Amino acid sequence: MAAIRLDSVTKKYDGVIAVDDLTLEIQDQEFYVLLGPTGAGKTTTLRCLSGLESAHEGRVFIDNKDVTDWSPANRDVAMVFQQYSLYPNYTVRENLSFPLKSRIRNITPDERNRRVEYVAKTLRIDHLLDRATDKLSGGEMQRVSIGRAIVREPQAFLMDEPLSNLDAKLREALRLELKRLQRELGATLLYVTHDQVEAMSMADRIGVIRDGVLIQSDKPFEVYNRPKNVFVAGFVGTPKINFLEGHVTDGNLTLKGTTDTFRLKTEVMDKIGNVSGEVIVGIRPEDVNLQQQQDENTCAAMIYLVEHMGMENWVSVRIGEHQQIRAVTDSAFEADVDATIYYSFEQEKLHFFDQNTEDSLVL
Amino acid sequence: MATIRLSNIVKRFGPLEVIKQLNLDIKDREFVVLLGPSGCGKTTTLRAIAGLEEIDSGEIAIDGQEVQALPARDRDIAFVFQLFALYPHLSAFDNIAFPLKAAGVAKNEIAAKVKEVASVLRIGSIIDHMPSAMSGGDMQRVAMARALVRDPKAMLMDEPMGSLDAKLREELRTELKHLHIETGSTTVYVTHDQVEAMSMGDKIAVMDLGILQQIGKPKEVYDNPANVFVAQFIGSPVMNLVDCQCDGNGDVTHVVIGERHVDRFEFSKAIYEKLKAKDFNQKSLAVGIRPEAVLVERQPTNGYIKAEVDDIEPLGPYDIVDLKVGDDVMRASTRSRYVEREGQEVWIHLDENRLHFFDTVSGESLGI
Repeated sequence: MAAIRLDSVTKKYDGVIAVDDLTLEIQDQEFYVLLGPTGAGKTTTLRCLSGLESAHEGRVFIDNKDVTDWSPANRDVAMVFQQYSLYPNYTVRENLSFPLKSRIRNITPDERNRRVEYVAKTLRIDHLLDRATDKLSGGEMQRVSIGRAIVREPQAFLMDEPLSNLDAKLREALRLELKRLQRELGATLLYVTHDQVEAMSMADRIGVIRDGVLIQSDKPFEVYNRPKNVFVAGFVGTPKINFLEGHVTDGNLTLKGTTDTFRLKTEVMDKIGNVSGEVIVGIRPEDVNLQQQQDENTCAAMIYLVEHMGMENWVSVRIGEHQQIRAVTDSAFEADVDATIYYSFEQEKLHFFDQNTEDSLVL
Repeated sequence: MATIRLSNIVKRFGPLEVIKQLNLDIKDREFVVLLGPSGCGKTTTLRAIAGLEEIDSGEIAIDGQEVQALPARDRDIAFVFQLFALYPHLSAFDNIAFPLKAAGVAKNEIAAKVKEVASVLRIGSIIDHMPSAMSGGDMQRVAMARALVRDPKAMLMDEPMGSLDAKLREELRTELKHLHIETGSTTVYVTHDQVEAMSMGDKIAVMDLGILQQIGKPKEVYDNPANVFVAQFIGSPVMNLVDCQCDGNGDVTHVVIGERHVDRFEFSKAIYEKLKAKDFNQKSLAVGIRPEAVLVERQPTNGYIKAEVDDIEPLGPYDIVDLKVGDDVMRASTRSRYVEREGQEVWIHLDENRLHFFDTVSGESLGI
């Protein structure tokens, strides 16, 4: 397998910038997930890499070779799409061996069989080898598609939302298999998705992209715990992080539209360079504490809604006129709508963002 | 508002029976979610209530009155679809006002009603916008407002958030449910998304293969699933289900998993007694345990058995960890970074209060 590098790649469609001066390095054997909303430029990035699109500016490197002007076939990367794109009248075996029959590859029938058997076994579809692909379930079809990519033994795999068409349970199972497979093959894998759970659970590193710009490229833990800006913080995590408008004066945080004030610890203030003025505060629902009793560290709020999620409850509360906070509690928590409750934050877990740039204020 | 009662509903498409003897009782002001995979019959059920689909046999009663012979327009029910279905040439206000105008409501009353419902759904600021200038979330809010403004006997919703992105769904869910608490409209809501069902339903009706598998409050369905299907359809990650054998020698219960018969969990004698009272079949017994009820320790711990970490999925607030026990794999959810690496040895136990046992042939829960 091979390392991949995009160097200042820009791609436009009809003058509209889809990918904007994007630089990205994926290491050999790395599972890299490009995460972003629809229209962020993630699929375009993938297509520039595969050669299906040519970049307007910038260079593309695979295995340290400049492949910018190479055809897709010569780049030797394998794509897997959301749509299965199998030959419906052929068996699984025929579908898997098809990419190996190309004359350019010059692979002997024995070698072909060896690879097909190996891939089928790895993907646990060996019992389906002689079945026609239109007799397969969605999960099996996607396994065959993945198998067809693997059998070529390419330099790298590029996958574009391959699990999107599958139901939740199957996605959960295939997520795991895909990760195991990537490790076993030592594959370099670029995976595109809008689903943050897929990104968090599978990636060695996540690249969060918006409007063609790569905002943050980091390990999942870092992306979740040290988001670079409001967008990243809001895109990753379920339930969504709370954003509150606030004001910091002399180490006191006051939330807008309320008199709710929290004394910030010295280490928290140090972390954000003793900022003062208007800020956006981010706090993840699991870092909001709710309690029935008031004490000197809590402020009052009104219950808006309790959602029973099974393993936990999601509790939304109102503070002041306009702001709302969601907390995760254990599943035994009960409260009536409009009842008073007292809240506080895990201070170490507070995020602070600049009100104008929306960038993290953490130094 | 109204009660809805379905009695012995059967619906066929050609030779295919898509709803099989369905009985469902929906109370006044109740929010009931019909939950199941595609093809389970949930949308057909909803359309039958609305009158968009004729049933082959059975009765549908709204507020005690049989309506199965009535056309859709005479049932006084509002329907919200997955697709926004707004009039593209009308502003948000006119879209919402449309059903009132059609009913000949006075102008000033229309204005007052639209204003009220728009404020609840927080679309006051876009009330003059045309649909083409609205985001997907706003469009769906307008569509909901249009359904609500009529003050119908009941609201029927068919995956109304299906086409919205995850964050917006999360937000709208909270609003919709809060709105329901305030207005108390009887609501039947169809979805394949168990998170939506859990978070919004007063009750969840789980369907599969045209059959109602279980109906109950979210917590009941989650904590006491009636069968394997319900157990594994609700909850993410999916409930672990492992073939096991159970014996009650001495004053404890042993639950043995795997082919090697060496991995055994120990519980109080009561577990065995309860299983015996249910006349369980040793040959078709499986233990079910939700990932959050798998207890994980990094050090050897009394009563725990050894497992090997096969995979770690960091989700942010917690990690999902796959653990190899003999030939079986169990998933546990643990504190973020509690388990350090793949290949690590850990010790696990199952929370006795949260054990489930199923008969693997019938799929039924033994109700322990």
